[in-house]
Amino acid sequence: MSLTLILLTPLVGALVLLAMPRRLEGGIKIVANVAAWAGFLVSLPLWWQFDPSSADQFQFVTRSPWIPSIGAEYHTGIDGFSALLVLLTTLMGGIAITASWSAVSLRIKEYYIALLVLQTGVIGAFIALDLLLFFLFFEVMLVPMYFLIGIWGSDRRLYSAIKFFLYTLVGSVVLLLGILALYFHLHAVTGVYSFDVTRYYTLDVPPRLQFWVFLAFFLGFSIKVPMFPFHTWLPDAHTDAPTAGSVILAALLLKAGTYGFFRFSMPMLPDATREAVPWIALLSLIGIVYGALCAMAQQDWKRLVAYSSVSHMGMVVLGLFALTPTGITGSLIQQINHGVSTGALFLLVGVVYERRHTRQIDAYGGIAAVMPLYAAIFLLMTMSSIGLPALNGFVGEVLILQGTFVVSKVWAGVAGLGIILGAAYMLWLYQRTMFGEITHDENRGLKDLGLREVFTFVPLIILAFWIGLYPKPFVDRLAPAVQRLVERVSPEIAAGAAAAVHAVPDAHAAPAVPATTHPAPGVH
Amino acid sequence: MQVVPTMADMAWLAPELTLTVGLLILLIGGLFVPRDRQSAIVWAGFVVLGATLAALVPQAGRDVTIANGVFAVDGFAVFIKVIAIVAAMITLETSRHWLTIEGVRATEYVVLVMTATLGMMVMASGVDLVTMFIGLETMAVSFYVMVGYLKPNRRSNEAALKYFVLGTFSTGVLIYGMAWTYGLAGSTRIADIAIAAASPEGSIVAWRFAIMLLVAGLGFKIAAVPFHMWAPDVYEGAPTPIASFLSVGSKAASFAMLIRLMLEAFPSASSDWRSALYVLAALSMTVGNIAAMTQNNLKRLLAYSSIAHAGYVTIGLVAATPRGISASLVYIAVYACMQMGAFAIVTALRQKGVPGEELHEFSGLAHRRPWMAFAMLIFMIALGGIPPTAGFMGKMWLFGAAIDSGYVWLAVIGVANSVLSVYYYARVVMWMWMTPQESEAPLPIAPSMAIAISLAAAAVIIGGLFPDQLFTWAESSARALGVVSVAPALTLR
Repeated sequence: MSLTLILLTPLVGALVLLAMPRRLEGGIKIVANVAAWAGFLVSLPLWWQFDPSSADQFQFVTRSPWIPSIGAEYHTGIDGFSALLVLLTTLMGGIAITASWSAVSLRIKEYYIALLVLQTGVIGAFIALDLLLFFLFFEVMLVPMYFLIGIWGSDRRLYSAIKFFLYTLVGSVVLLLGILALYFHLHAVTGVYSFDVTRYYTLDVPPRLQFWVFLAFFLGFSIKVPMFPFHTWLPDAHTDAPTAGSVILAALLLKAGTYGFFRFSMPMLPDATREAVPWIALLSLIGIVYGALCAMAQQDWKRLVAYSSVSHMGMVVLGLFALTPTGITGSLIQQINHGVSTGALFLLVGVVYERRHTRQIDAYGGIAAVMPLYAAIFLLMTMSSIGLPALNGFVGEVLILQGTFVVSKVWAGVAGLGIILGAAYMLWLYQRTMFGEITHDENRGLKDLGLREVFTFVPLIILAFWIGLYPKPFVDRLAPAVQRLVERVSPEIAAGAAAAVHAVPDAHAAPAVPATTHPAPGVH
Repeated sequence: MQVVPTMADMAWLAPELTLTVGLLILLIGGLFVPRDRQSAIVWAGFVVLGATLAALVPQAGRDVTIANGVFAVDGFAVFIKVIAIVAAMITLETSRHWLTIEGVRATEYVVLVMTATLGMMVMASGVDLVTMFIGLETMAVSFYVMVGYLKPNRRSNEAALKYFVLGTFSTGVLIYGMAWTYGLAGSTRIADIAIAAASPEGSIVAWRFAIMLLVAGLGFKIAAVPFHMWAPDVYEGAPTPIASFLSVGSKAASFAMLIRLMLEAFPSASSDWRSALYVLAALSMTVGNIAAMTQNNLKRLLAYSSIAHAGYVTIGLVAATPRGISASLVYIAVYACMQMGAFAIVTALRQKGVPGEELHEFSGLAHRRPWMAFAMLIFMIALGGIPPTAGFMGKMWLFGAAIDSGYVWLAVIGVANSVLSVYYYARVVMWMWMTPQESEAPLPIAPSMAIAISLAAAAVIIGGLFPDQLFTWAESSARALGVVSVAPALTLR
């Protein structure tokens, strides 16, 4: 029940807004904020009530028939990873809505409805344990995001909106074909029509079918992540989306792609996953370096952060497909980190954009002098993004590098290069915007952060330090999920890896993983 | 051989008889209704159609063939008849507004809608070539008149002429195919044809020729590529409610006839007609969607989209499994709701002196009429096949049926087309929500219109969230047909 409550809270908020007259602007804002933060509050018990030591793979399970004639169920439940993602979703949803208080003044009723529906879709995707239900939520995200970019966006909003819509739609319809192919295979083997995810975890799919279905899933999820070469929609969408849209897009929507790999592709199609590792690693590495280089060349602040997302998400996928416990744990942690730090960076751009209405980097400079508090938070989030020790980014990146290193030193080396480039473009951005002389007179009168704005950053700062200094509660919650995935995708190292997961982040654990786990490059 | 139906047969014909008697009364009674009380006729027509629908209820779940084996009362027929009658009722609902704006007489209009419905019902039930043909002609002739109903309007005249000339030509092709079939099988009854076709005497080429002619003739009625050329011009010129009825009712009934003919008369030749329909489906989807992308007139856009949708529905027939046929039926039902809803919005935009069918006239609709824009949004995403709408569930099940029977590439073509189609549906949404409004003119909407639109929108959403009833009903309806048992064309396993 509790998951359904979490799912429905923002939706109920949206329905209340739908019934409100549009001239009650203050009331609409209050209702939207209340709905979003109520959603966060009802989801908070997941942190305490989730039991990492439980033998069940999924907790808080709700199951009831949905479309009995085709075997689809309303089946929801969470493991450690989805619990964290749901918490991240409800938190970022609240932050995004509070951050929009003064930024959006046009058609605010539709705006908040779109945000709340979007949030419902994201939560649904993270809790669904039925393939059809998941797909439904996966696609429900598209329309509100299309509206957010298309109505409240800037510059080339119409182009970016349709590009985002069509691009991600291509991926998801192909994903649907993959789901259907698996569904009929399940029936052919077991005589049961079911979209139940857990059934597919034990299903032995023949290699040829695995290959095709993996390809379909890969297209669906990698466009969402987005991985090179499917990333081109992302900079446009991010740049033209309103601040809240960018925050949700970066922090949550992209995670739906990597979550898809974690929840569906890898455990359902383990053989194809192993064979795909070299190719996916190659694309991830290109994404890491290419994204970083592109970020370095940007003149537009938001576009720079968008390209940094491409680079960071490449890192996340690399860790995931290292198929080692350390790498996967790092990847999952890094997804939360990316949500926190990139979400914060987009919020920060939004703050100055609201004041100056430009995102050009050279329109700024010397901002630290007029907005000291802003500069401090920006510095902190920059450090979090580039992985300074004691902040969250460091934990994720180290684990990913460590998990990748045992598989291939070259991969780890290239990924390390990406991190260095990441530091370069972020620090350069900081230097160009915050330090130096104030070159534009408009910038002299800029107001520092207000109380509401500070409030939106506080939870993110807390999380950045918490994960950076004491990641154990997070790692503990992820451990059983990681363990299960490793058992499925690389059974030969699962036994030896069990110890490593629990010892994370213990650097000595990594060499314990046998070198023979290196997946053979190329296709068998 | 007894040709005259018995009294027992008459009981099974209750829905058709109700409609016939009702429309005759209306035709005569309408003469005595004064010109300013025309809406009473629309109401009367609505009531008669409602009674017809009620008369269908006892036939649910039955499976009999009456009148010497030429008329079937089975689940399949009932399914199509319900769609046809509901489509006719929506047409009348939305016509009320349109008739007032155009200031034309209602009587003949209402009666023609009803005769077309009668034709559709006969097509759905016919299990004999002649019965089917009579149904088809009843429907077609009614439409020829309705398309040209706006006498002073040149576009309407042009549409009527085009539809009439091409329509009669295609009917000629169809009847020629029927003649060949009769010559080969020695009977016009489908059951006899099936037996003859199972062990064909004489040339197999002749059989193929007959099937090809039948497919071509019906391909015109469902507006499948390459028999689609008429559709955009006719939809554009026809009265908007009629274009809507034409694209839904006529298509549903023609699909019923096509499905019954292929599955029950020619199961033995399934590999032939399946490959023909495969090509038809792929072409219709692709050509329809690509052509729709550049349309700036919403009626033309919906015409091309309806061509594409004929392609989607055909996928189920290509699969030819019970799942495929039920998916086709589901999709016909879903398509009826979303297409008629979208057309109803175009009708609602028609005001005195405002055509209301160009895309730019939709600009800023979200400001002028937020709920109408919201309803249109629902219809557009449903037509594009995006959840949580019935359009998604229908498409999902069609593609599923194709994959299940081994037509993976057809499913791939189908999903690629869904993406293409979203481009132009999103364009409509863009005009409504993301462009400044052009006109400040008030946009009054009659309550009957608002109700029709809301019901269609609600049906699309409910069908998308809880499609179980629809799936179950379509499944049992499809089982009424002798469905071909098929060997998968290609398998991944």
